[in-house]
Amino acid sequence: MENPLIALGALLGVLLLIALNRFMGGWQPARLQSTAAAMARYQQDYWHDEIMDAVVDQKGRTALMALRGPAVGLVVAMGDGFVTRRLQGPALLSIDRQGDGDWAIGLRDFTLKRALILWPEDADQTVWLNRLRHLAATPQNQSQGGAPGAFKAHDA
Amino acid sequence: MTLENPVTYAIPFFVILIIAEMIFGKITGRTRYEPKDTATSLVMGLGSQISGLIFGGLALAVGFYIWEHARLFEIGFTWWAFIAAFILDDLAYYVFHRASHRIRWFWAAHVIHHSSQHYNLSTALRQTWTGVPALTFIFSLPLFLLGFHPLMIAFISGINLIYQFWIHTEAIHRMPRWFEAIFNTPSHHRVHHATNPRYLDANFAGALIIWDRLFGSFVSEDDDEPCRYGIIKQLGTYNPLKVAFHEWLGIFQDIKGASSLHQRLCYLFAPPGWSPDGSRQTSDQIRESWQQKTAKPASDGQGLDLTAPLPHLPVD
Repeated sequence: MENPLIALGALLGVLLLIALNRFMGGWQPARLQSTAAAMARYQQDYWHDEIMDAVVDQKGRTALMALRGPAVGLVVAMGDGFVTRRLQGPALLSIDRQGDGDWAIGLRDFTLKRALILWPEDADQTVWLNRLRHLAATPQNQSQGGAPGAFKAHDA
Repeated sequence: MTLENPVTYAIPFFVILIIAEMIFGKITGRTRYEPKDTATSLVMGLGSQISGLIFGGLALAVGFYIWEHARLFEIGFTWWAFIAAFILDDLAYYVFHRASHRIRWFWAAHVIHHSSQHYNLSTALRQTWTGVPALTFIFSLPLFLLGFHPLMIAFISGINLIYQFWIHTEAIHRMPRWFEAIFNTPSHHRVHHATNPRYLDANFAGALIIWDRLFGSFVSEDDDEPCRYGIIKQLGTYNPLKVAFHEWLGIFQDIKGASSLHQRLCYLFAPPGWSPDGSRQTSDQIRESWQQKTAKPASDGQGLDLTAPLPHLPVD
């Protein structure tokens, strides 16, 4: 990298590879096809959790899971894979509700700031809102970070 | 004698091989590339080279200082010295790499390399920006003390890094048995990048897998259990800055909230996942939890699982 030509070549190489990857395709955005698929994906990472209820958003991008105990499971599509989280009280920052069933769940998580969920028509949003509110009010262990009580729910 | 950094000159070959693997993946479906993930890996690689330019001099200066003032033997630039340096540098790499998975301070620098859920040649280039500031070069210092010239070690480390490039692929299933026995291979290194509980904290080798076999950290790839790649808490971002610094920020936040010096030290130097109240899990704890879940109850003392469904018996 001491040689500016090599540095320039490396930069062009990077741009070429990204463009080529985009042009060639060969990957599909990850989508959750069902609650069973969402639960299976969640339990790959958190096999000790018992899932009591689950909901997958209309676009298959996000799933929420009510767990036994004071926690909610989250699966979020990212690229062609998924990111999972076991949310405990202080992890929840806010819920912004827009329109009928469009939520943005704000998280206290440096690399996963929010999860978007477009509720399916048959889902009971009130039940889930209450679950999340209840969870946010639950005091947690010291190393969970944050403090309960900071949670906000907004209607846009 | 002058020795150039071989990694710089390997970059064009890296690009060609990545293109070849992309095409191979497109045709066979055996490797996966996703543009945003690829972009992040490549930007991390570029950033790592820039970071090396900024901080690399410090590591070399320390090496030169030890070599000039405290070396035990006079080792010149002979052919056997290069071979000895390669083997000992690889051992030093093994120790560094194992420490990088077992000590959170070093993990904060190394986690970047593991942060992709993909395993392809671009993942090899997803390198740390904070290795030198985290003092990871201390693992090479004994080599300078022995008398190996710092430029020789820098050159050999570059060769080792180039070796490690090609093993980041799913395109190669297994190498010949003799090769798998001695060298680090795609199969061994897939295990290292996997988050499956049984694969955690295994195969720390750089070029020679013999160190893992020798020190008990070797785990072979099981074809019945495909590797799932990444880290325990997968990142929800492609932002290179967040990828580079997320664990450092985590350490900072944990230390800020700690209630004693002991806790602060453990947040810094205990294994990643350590917490005072056990609310997070280290890889040892995760593996133990998984083993408990998968252990078959041996209620009759014969290892039979009496809760398992009865096998289907063919009836004529």
